Amino acid sequence: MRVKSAAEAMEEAARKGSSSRIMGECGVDGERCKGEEVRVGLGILLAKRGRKRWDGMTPMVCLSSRSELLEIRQVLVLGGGSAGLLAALTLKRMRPELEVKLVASAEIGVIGVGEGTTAVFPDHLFRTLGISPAEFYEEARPTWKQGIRFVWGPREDFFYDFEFQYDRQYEGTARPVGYYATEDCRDLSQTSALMQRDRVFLSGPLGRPLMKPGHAFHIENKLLVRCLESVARRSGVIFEEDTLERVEVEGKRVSALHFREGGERRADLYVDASGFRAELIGKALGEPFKSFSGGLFCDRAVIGGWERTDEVIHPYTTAETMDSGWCWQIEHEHFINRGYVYGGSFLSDEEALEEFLRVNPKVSTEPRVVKFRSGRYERNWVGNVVAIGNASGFVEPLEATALAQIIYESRWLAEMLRVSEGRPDEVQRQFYNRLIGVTWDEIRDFLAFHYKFNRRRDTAFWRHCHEETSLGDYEGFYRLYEEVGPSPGLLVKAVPQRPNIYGVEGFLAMLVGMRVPHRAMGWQPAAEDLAKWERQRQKHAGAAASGLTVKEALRAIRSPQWRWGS
Amino acid sequence: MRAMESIVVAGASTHGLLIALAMRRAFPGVPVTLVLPDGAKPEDVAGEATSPAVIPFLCQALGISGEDLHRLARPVWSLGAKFLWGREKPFYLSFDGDYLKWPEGWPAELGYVAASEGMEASTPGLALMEAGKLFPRDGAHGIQPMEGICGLNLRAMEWNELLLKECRAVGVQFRDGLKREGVVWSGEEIAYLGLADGMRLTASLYVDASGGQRVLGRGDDGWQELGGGIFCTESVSRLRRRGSEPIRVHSTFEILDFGYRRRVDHDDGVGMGVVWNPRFAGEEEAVKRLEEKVTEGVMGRRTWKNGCVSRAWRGNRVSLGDAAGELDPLAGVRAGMLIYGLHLLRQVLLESGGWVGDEVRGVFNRGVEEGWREYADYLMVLYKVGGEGGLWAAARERSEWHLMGELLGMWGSVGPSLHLESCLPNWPGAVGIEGWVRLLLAAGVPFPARELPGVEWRGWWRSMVEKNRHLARQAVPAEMCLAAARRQAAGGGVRSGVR
Repeated sequence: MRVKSAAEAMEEAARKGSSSRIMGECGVDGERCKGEEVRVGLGILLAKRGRKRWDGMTPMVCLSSRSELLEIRQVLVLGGGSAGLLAALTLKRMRPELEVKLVASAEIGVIGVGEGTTAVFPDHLFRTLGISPAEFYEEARPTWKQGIRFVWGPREDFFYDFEFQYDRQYEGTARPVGYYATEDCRDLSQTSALMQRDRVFLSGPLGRPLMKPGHAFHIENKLLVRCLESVARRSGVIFEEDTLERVEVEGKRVSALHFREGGERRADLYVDASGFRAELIGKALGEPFKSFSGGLFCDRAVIGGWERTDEVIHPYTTAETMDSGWCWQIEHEHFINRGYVYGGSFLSDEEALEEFLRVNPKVSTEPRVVKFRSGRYERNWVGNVVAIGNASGFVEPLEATALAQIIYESRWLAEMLRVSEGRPDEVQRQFYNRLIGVTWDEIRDFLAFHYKFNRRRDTAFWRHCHEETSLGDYEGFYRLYEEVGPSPGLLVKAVPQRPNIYGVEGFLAMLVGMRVPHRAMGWQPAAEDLAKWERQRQKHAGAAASGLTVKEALRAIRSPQWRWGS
Repeated sequence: MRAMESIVVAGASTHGLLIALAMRRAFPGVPVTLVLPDGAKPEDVAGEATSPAVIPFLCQALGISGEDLHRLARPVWSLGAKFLWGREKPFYLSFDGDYLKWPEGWPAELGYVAASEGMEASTPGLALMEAGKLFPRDGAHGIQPMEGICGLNLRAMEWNELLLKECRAVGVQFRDGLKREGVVWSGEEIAYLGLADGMRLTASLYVDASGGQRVLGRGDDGWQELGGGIFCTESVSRLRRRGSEPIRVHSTFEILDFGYRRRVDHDDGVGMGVVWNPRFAGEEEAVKRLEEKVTEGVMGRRTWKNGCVSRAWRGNRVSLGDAAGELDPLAGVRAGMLIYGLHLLRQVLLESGGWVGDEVRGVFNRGVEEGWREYADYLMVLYKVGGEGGLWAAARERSEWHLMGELLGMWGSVGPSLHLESCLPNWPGAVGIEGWVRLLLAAGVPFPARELPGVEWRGWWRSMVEKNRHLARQAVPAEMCLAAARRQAAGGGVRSGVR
């Protein structure tokens, strides 16, 4: 039932694809084939561009067929934030033959708020990039995040985790889990049971944390950047400090970048990691920006926090409904970071600040207001420019998608270079642009579900969200849910496009969590059936009760006896 | 629509019987009536080759025992197809082999290695077909039935006898005398079926299993032509008695200027047919080419339209199998699409708890339609790698695809990369990504060369191929496997998985 995601395919490729340039022979049925150029199977795409059409009779594999395409050997990454660093590291790690140069300006600061990640992040860091956990934990000082606690919808709260709560059916029960969870949706998975009890991991032998894959992090951006930069330098990424002055464009390609100190720099491929400024994809190439303002109405955030004293370190991010938006709480070891995301047309910055401080009286840092626009560029790969991170698109951090999206974009780019042997063609660019566009649009629509169905507060903002939010490509998915309820087996058939990031699981976590009505809501399980369902939940709860808190787990990994990978 | 109280299946022959049996098995408490329409089209006398989906369907969903299957339907196992087609050398298409796998230590996905080293004997199924053997030995005297990679060749008469027996055993009721004008609609719902004897049949669900006759169909079911007039639409066939030649463990397709000749082996007979597009030849020419190979047996004729309906499920009527769509038999999807539709229908009915509204119908209709469109593209690939004649040249002129344009474009750009899976719009699809890659590799659809690093993988590949060849050399021909299965069926116990 669960869709094998594009990310999983990429992950497999990423783990195996770090081989260096490949040499050898190829042929068909033992015979070498030479010379003839064949570009595109079945003659579709390139035929339109006036190239040779496949006639169905040509041998399967031909040598030298990519020779007319420019080979990418040098990559210039513009921007030294987490997007630029992750892109540079990913490219260097997965395609070591590339010369990767990162140019960052000391004059341009990093946004630098605390961040929550998704479970994609540690996997990429440790398995794909090969960063040692010991170094990462020492340098970046993360805490763990097992999901999100939503103070949202009619329930007191509910949890979204990185495990499976709803895309499953307990053994021996009549229907999938969601049908039983209308009233009580606690302890549906082991992870949600842990979160419910402020526990982060199950306790293993000698009271050590059983740290399974599938968790994420809370991390301070400045520490993350410092850690990534240190690893990138060691991995062979070339760092240069300079400020971009001018971009030279020929047709739809960048031919050179001109910097204040170092003058002209050229590369075969430019990665635009310049953040919201989108220096290359937006300003230089003029790629149209597709706004999400029709479905997402927040465009500002006020951010602040305080030093932790005796507060529990929660193993989750909190997303809490506010009058005109929502407020995050990110858990660092010694600091609590809060941010109120709101719609500027519903309240002024002063009003937002007042509400923010009323809800968070402990805020001790100077609150600051950040403005943003939600949306994405139509294409993220245009000519020889690939935009990654905020230069590619942006949405508010309600589902902590920023770092995950950077990782997807970087991996897909590295993969396109692998399968094309460094000579990507227009077909691959189109494929890449579709994939990245689909993921951005899915994020947009997923966030729209959060807004459309949250009836917790009856304010002008939330009434507007309820009435005006478009569910975009997932409108049909919702209609099917309304008709059949939380049936993962049917809903997976209504997922509009592949690849698919959140799966049916993600959408059901929000729909059932917010008690969004469906026609099967009146269904009552038989007593014996309900008892089986309860027993499974009790099993989760029982195991979670003896789990470790974040503090206990941090203490364990910092003890001299702890061994990573053990 | 709420929970079903009764089901009426309209259809004769294999599809009607199969669907009636499947519905009765899926909903044991619901009465099922099979009503036979007047003027049903004849089945193909040459028989049908099916995919591996059929064996688990028969055994698990329909509950047919291995003993009955072998005793009554007398199927022959088939490992795939051999194509005398386009390329200089014939090629085989097996049901096994995942060429998108990238085993640890190998330089790339196996498909790149297969393209470089040749596909011969790269899977057990291919090695067995190349050697003309069916199943590997199991010890000195045993046979290891690899049914997971086999389809079944079935003949309508024997097959229907078995299905009839099973339908009777589970209490399917039979009626006849249904005419199209006896189908009475009330808006989007069928109100009742009026039979020739004046009886009115009512049900909460009506299933159209009448094939191309589409006796419960309506003009506004949204018929869509597939293939742009390229695919063949007519066939003539005969079933001859088997001589002394060995049973082939695969179907065979041999290209002709205006179509192709097909062969399906049975235990004591051989089905031969010529399939053609009437734009490029007449029946006389087709019969002549058939009679080059076979002159005995009753001549069967079939015609069909290549296409599908977009509203297979409307109101309380569902069209399945040929009634929902038809394609040239080269696609080999007749049984496969019937099973696909039945699985989908069963899942939709069970998971929706009977709350079938427009959205659920939409899911079903999209699923079925996309399945047909995907298979039409699959078929078009085979047409494009066909011969030199007018029909095949016309196929190569076509540049539109029904569903799989991105996958085929990416294939041409990068070849058998594991990222092709992200190009499946209807994941996991009717063919499945492994099936697509097997076809594209075997048919020789081009992609740019890749140079694979290192040399050791070549040795690993050769060793794998040699292992498969060794397995095939030691394997057992179809005759011995069938004799063993039939003996055990007669004795009341088939050892194989067909139970």
